[in-house]
Amino acid sequence: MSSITYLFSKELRSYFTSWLAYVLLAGWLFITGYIFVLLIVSSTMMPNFNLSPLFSNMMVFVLFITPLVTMRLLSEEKREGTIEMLFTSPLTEWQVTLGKFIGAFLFMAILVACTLYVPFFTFRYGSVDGGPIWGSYLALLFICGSAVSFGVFCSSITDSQVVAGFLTFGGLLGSWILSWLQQVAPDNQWASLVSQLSLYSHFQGMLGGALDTKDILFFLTFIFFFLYATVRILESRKWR
Amino acid sequence: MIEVSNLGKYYSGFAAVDDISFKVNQGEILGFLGPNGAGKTTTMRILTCFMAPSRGTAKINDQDILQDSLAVRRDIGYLPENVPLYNDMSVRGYLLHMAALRGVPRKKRPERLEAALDAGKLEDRAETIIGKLSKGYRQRVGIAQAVIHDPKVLILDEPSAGLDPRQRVETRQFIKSLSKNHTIILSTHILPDVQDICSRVVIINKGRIVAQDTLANLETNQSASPRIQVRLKNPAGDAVNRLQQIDGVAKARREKDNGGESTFVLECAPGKDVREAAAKLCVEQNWGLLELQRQGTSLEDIFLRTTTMEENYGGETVPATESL
Repeated sequence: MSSITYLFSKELRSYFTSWLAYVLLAGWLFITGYIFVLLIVSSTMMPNFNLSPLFSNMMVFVLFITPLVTMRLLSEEKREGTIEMLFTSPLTEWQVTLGKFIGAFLFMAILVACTLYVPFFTFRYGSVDGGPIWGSYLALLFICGSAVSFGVFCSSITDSQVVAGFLTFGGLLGSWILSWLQQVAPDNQWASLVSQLSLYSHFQGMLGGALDTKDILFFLTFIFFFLYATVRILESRKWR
Repeated sequence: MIEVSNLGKYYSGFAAVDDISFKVNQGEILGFLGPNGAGKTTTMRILTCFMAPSRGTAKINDQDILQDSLAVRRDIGYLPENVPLYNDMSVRGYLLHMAALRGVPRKKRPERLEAALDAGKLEDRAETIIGKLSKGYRQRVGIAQAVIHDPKVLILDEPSAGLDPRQRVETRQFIKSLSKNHTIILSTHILPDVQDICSRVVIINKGRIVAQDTLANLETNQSASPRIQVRLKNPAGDAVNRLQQIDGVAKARREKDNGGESTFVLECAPGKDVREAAAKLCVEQNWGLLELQRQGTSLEDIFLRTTTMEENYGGETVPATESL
């Protein structure tokens, strides 16, 4: 356990020693702030104030940010050969994978946490139902966790950061596109089956403040599946 | 201390390591030699649990590399061939990082850091960013990280590569000083270093062990037909024939003449020592004996012979030294 703690804190620190963290943070805060302001301005023309467009958009931004956050995690270790140092140290594949995953996830969680001023001002100067807001934050964390897990996996299968980044982006984009199917053809059972595989089909309930075990289980399974796959990929170096 | 038994690593169509077995005793420095691509690095990667063998196993400190992989890794300090390092870290930061990975308790880390900096002679570069270090310094950081957790066993893959002659001597002395408390497997191409610090040698070629023994034994056994070089000032015309007639000389030949000195080489029958008889003959005939020397087979000869003979498989085996 202490090894995992050490690994993820090292990973988290390394984000903040490069410019990447600050650029992402600035961009993220600017865009979310911009949308928040637009919502406030437009609310004067609408009967009730609703934050859900902001959260829906944040879900989509996760798709763009995650590849940048996860692409170098394992691919760089492979490219530089430092992976040899890592695995000749007394560390298991799970410890390394979880260290990388938790480090990247915490970074994403920090991004998400930086938008907490939105509910703060909303509660302070308006009367809003808290359920949908906290549900949305929970959904965001699940989406981030799933995306990061997928990103770590993509980073483990190649030694090129660019390839890892593109795979992550492509996969998440694909997942987002799949979620449209149900809206296009709500009566087709194949369309609804396929769209259920998408990450983006599972947070609608949470946006409204309703937690469904089915959705939570989907996210947890998704995260576990790709972490497990990463561990297997890392182990495969022994047998190849 | 280290016991390798029937280790093999096979890829489709070729064997990187093929059925090798050897032992290294406590406190010994084993020279692990072989041409490039012979399987040295693969063997070392298997011993450090980075790869798994296709067959066979190895025990380090009575712990199996497959069953007790984590325990084995705690006991091993490893310097990989190309010294992969994190280029954006400082030397101090990197060594502390490796100490944490290798499981050094937090309280002992400052002490171990000092020891490792001292081992690599890096005290004055502790704050330098690794990416800015020269090749020699990178190599030293590699050595420092290998000893950071005070391991019982050290596996060093070409520790002297890229060092200047003075650093090489220092590294050699350092490795020698480590042998009191450590068991070491040392892979290198610098054979004089091996002759200086290794007690035993394993030579592999094409994944197979072609020679393994103590240095002393190797040099005696391998020179199955010892050669003696005689330098004379004024030999008679029939000197070659006379030398040839000495009991135990298989073949004598006149090698070269320069500046009034002639050199003769006597190829002896196995196990025969003809030095005394040859000296006696030369003195009796008043040929002006200047020098008489037994040509012991050097490690380089052994290396070339054992690793080249293999290449003549199928046909006759020609000692490489003859053809060079």
